[in-house]
Amino acid sequence: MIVLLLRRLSSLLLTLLAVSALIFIVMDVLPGDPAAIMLGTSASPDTLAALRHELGLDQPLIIRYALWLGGVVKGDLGNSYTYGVPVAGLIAERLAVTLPLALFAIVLSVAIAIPLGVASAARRNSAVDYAAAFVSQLFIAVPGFWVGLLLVLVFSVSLGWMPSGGFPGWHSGFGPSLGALLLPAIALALPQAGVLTRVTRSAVLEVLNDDFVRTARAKGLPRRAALWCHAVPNALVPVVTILGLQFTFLIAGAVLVENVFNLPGLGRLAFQALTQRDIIVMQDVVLFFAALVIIMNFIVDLSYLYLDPRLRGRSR
Amino acid sequence: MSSAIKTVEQPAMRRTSLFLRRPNLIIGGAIIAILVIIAFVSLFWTPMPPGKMQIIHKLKPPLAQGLLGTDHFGRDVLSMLMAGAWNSLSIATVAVAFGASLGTLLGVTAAALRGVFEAVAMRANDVIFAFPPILSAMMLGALLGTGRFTAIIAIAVFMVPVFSRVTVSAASQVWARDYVLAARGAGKGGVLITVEHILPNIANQIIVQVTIQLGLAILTEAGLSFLGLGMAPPAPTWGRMLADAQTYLATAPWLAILPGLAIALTVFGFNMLGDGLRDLLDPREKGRT
Amino acid sequence: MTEAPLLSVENLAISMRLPAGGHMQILTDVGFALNAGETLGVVGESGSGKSLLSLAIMGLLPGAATATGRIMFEGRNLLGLDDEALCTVRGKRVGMIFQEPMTALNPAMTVGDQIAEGLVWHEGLSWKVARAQAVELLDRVRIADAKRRAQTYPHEMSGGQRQRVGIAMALALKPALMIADEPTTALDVTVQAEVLDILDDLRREYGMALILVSHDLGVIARMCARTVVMYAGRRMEEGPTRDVLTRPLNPYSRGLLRAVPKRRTDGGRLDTIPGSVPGFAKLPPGCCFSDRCPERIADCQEAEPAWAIPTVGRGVRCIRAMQEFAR
Repeated sequence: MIVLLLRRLSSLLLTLLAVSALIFIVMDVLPGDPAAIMLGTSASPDTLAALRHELGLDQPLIIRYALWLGGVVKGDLGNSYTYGVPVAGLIAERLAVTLPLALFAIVLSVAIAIPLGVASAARRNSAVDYAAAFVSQLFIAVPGFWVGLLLVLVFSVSLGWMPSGGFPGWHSGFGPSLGALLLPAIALALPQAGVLTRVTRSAVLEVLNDDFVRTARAKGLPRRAALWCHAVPNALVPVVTILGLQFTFLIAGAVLVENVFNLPGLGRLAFQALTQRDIIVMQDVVLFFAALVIIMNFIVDLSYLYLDPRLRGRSR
Repeated sequence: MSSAIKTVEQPAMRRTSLFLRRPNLIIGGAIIAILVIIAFVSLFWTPMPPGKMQIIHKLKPPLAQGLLGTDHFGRDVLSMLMAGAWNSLSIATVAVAFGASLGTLLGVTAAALRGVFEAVAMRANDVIFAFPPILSAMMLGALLGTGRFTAIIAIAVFMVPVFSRVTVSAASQVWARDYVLAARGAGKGGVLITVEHILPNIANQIIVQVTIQLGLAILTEAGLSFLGLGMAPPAPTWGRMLADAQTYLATAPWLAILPGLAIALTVFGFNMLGDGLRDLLDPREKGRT
Repeated sequence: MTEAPLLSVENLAISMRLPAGGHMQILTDVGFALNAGETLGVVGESGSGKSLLSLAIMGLLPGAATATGRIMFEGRNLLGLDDEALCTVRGKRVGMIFQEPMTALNPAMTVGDQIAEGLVWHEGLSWKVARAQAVELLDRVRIADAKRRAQTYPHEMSGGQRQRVGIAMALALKPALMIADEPTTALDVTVQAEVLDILDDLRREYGMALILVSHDLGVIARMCARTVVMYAGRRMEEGPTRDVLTRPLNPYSRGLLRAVPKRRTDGGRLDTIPGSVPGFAKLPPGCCFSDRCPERIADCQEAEPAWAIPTVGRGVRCIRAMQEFAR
């Protein structure tokens, strides 16, 4: 089993390396001179050249890539062209918003999807099933950022219950901060919940056909117990798989939702960096996002080992 | 004692209406058909020219001015929605067409060649999948500038690994079938086998996937436009309409509701259609919503 | 001795709702009685409906199936009970062993836990105590190193071992009746004998009644004192196993016995029953076996023969058989 994990880990690192190379190359091709951005277009060519040299921008591609990579490993992500502060610090700050948001959204979507999906599968082709199917399709079809807008419209503009955006900061207290994340998390969670409900339903339906569920019933377990204690645990593998695959879309949604709700998260940072042509920040943030996705998939792989004992160790 | 042998009742040969049998297909197909018609019509006619600004009539609610109201520049919302339909659908269709073709080609090649090619292709897929579509679109947008072309490329880039993954998986299963093994044993070349056996057998799954990805492409394009990375103004896009609507949420809520509804309806239609097609073409999946 | 039988199946008929609409009759006029500690074999080919019979007794018929008649068990009609009441019967009073050991166990749960689960549910034992009993049960079904094995997962065991786990699970609560649906069909021949041995020993020890469903006459002969032969969802013959196997009354039973491969010195072909089992929708008129029966007469296709009792302890559904007996 250790061998298996190590192999997956090395695969992960390889992908991460390829991703970083891709990012670097694309960013390199970007038009825009970082030195000019920092100093302004009216700076003299000599000053620009000096700054470029100081930033190491006049070195060949490979060297710059290696330097950047080396820095990443050490935790030194360079300094933002626009703000002049260490990028690592910026990312850490913004992560404190985006990560809780993403986790909140995952928790919400799972809390909606699993009960709904299991209920649909247990009462196949009933009114509950059709209603759940319709609702899932609805959730999948709506853009997350639109849901965000609607939520703001209803809960902020009309009812005035919730703030329409912004983030007070964790130092202001747990409650207000979570409150600020509630609407955005819902907006993110609904499309995920739609997808997960369908996957849960189909996974549970498949498992319900398996013999061991019948064996559980033959032991005298009522339907409910057979469903939740035997069927559902075995149906989780496809659900977790999709959860992992959807993480990419969760990040994409977060970028949009953070814009709607004015949350100082990583998504907004990436967007701002783009508009300001802050290459360093863009590079680092995109790499970070990609790393998050890859790590998430690795965690999903790990969870398989827990969920399906058949995958643990090939020794027999 | 005569026994009561129950004769088997013949199943009633009712003409079950097509609607009851396959609601997904009908509803989805209808929605998409209507949208496509609207999109095409918008090329020739809209109630008002979508870009025409009539400041004097700005921010009027639906039915007060135009069927669906006007925006902050006095432009007719209905016309903008119709033109937006053309923009979104055309971008999504071209992007998916590119992505699907390239992805499928890569997929069948990987399934046929196996070995290093397949490993590299799968690794490349993983790399691209690691980039949320918005981010890769942002990077490309910075590179190529905003506009229709960028949006298409950005979306298509993400479609390629989606299709190549689906294709490799589906194609590999067909390669493992006995009659294909027999064909290989008889000396048939990979290209011929791919064309004659693999492609027809995976076509259905690809079709279903295309429909579903079209929905996703619409969503991605909307997100891009929302961030300002899609088509440049004054071209009307649903996403940007939503972005503009943010400022006027309190005064003109219909500006935020209507374009989102259009997006949701379109994606809903594609998903329904995809589901219906899957039920129709992929009988293995019958019984699943 | 007027003690009521442990299990009494009366006029059991099962029909299935078809996906396109309409019904298909599967089991018709099935009945038998079983006293405590007795063994009954149910013989039939695939498609004879014998598995539906076992599921009916457990109350685990698929949703599309409707059963009529009575299944009297310990004084109650199982067909009239709701699921909650049936849950008190299943596992505790009636245990079942299924055919496919490879899929009958939950892959995500240890073997010991799956055995212990029944004890926890029905007897309210703590998991700790139940797990200890599970280890003992594993020992009883002759799984070596039971304590360690209890913490392994099903995929780490062979088919024969898994089937023994299945037996342990079914026996855990010492039910009065055990139903075994083709328990050895999926196992290698060498393993079959041992599994049957274990089943037999434990049955004797716990004093359980046993219904063994199988298409294998050898298995039935080994395990069951009485046998009922089924075809196309109907009982064709019943009696003490020895009698049914040595002096079969029904031409179908005779055909089955002839078809068992035996050593032949003349090098001739194997005997078969010509034709194939008809689908339930295409049964011949009159007796369900009449289209393949070598002893058919015109009357056989007039009407389906009724179940008749030629002598005490024997039953047969056949006009010709009754004619012979009358002589």
